Amino acid sequence: MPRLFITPREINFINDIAKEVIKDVIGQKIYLFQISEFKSKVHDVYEESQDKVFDTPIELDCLVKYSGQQVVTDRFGSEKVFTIEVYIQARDLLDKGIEILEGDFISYGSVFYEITKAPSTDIIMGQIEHERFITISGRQSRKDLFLSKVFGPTSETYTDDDAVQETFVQQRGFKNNKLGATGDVRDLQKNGVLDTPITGPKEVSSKGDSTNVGSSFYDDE
Amino acid sequence: MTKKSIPQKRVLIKNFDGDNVPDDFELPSIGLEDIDRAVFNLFDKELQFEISSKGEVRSVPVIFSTGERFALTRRKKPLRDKNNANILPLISIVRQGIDTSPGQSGKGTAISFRAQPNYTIKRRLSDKDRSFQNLINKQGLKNQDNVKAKNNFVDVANELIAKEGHTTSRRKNTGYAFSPGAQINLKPQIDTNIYEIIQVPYPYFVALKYDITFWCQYMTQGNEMIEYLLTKLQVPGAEFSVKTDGGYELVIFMGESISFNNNFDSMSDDDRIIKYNFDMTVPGYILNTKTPGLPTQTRSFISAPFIDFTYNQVNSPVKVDYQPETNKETVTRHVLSDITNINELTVQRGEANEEIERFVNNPFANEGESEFLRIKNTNSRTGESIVSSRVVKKIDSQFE
Repeated sequence: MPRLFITPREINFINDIAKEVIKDVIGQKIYLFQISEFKSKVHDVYEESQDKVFDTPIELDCLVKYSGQQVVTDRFGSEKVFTIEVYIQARDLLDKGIEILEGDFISYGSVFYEITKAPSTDIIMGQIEHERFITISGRQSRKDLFLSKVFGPTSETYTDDDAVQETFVQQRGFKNNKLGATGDVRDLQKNGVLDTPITGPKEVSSKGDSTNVGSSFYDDE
Repeated sequence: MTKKSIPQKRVLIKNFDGDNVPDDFELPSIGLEDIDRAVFNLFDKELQFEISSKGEVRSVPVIFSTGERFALTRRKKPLRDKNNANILPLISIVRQGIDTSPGQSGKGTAISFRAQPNYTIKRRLSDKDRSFQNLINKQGLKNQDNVKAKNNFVDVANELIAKEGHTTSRRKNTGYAFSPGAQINLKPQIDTNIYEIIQVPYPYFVALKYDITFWCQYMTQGNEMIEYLLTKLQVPGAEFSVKTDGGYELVIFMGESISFNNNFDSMSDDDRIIKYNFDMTVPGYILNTKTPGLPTQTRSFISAPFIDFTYNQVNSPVKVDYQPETNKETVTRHVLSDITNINELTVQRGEANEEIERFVNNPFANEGESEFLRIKNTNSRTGESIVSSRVVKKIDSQFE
């Protein structure tokens, strides 16, 4: 697509639309655990660490292509392994100053995955300086490889408070929403092309359900 | 009557049981990791390959190809550029198989391959030796309070009771008086001493093979690295001598050929590959490893400075039963006795392995039976005094 028609403003628009879909509509998220090479005691020859120390986990909005468990049978018997593919918007990572590398870990649900691949996957409208998204491929990590506190939502089968997500709050370019800091940046708002939404982030919660049957979209203030 | 079990031939260390670990002696360990590290350090620290690139000389990174993903992508000395592609040239080391056969990949072993029962690594004077030397007074010191000297007895004539604050002994060897044969000089008189003998399990020999790859961007870089390597080789054996961090010396043998891999005839879809590849063999050993599950491997033993030849007088025939004890006999030996440990009835210190045959007459019939009795003797030195028909009388003791 020629640069005549796709200006930086269009690029911002495309990125903002993608953020809106992912953050304000879809609401999927993973937690990123970046291994600290300074805090982890890494073997100087084998370059491995049995006690990995990770930086503070980061919640990332994304699209998740969930793969069911695969059963692998070999000389040790059968084992079930999860794999995952996650798509993360490149501009969102840039706004938050995050670089995802192979060897980091993510959690989705109660499963931890080691990132085996994190390539830059696409660019926007053929403009090399504007990455569209990266695709993370992960493989379930074994218990001895990585272990951390599990962040919800995990599964209905668990009784933890955060096992089932009952509240979903939009971000809509606000620095903070009801759940805390968002880190969300909408370029069109930032550049003054669009105004900040007057009604603020909306939410899906029990607040919007007068029948007490379950959460629903709460729109009317 | 029961038979005694014949004590097995004792080796000093049997399966390294016991808790006689030396207090103040630490033997460095060597294991597979130490050998890997020695090979890695050879390339990374000792040889330190350098290449010229764009008018600059820079060092060539070395990687041991085992790293976890996070460690490789977040290496402190980066191997990759901003796009996460490898920066060439690189040296990679991959450990191949482990040869545990006597052949040791054709390199053999310096000492016997077959494991010996024990392996003595140090013999030194025991910390008990100082007290012992005071007791035997080898120099024949006469007027010193803390050594064996006649003047240190209260009753000098009968050699009874040491004076308060003094040390003395009734040992009949040397040193009751300053004799012409006694020597006081700076020569180490290391003869009658208590030695501490420190042993470890015999080393387990392994020969490790490594695959070394030089991955270069340009032919000129590859040439420089190969020339540097061959120049640094210690002729005539085409080998490198290295030391582990623990101080164990290893010899790294280089393979006989260096293979050259490239894809010059089919690189339509791939990048240009220049790789030099060769093997290295390291005959090594595993010794005193600190692997979890293994106890501390060093063991300490104390030598006996005297061998006691004692002449005993007995009034019955002495028999030695060489028949091994059966399992049934082992059990029945404990019947109708107080609770005893199974080792309690084995030959202890102060007991002999022989038995005395004694005929016991039955007063109610004109018959009797022979019984075999274990010999017990008196040992005034350890305070034991046993009164029994089996006690034999000591005629004399001779120490050698």
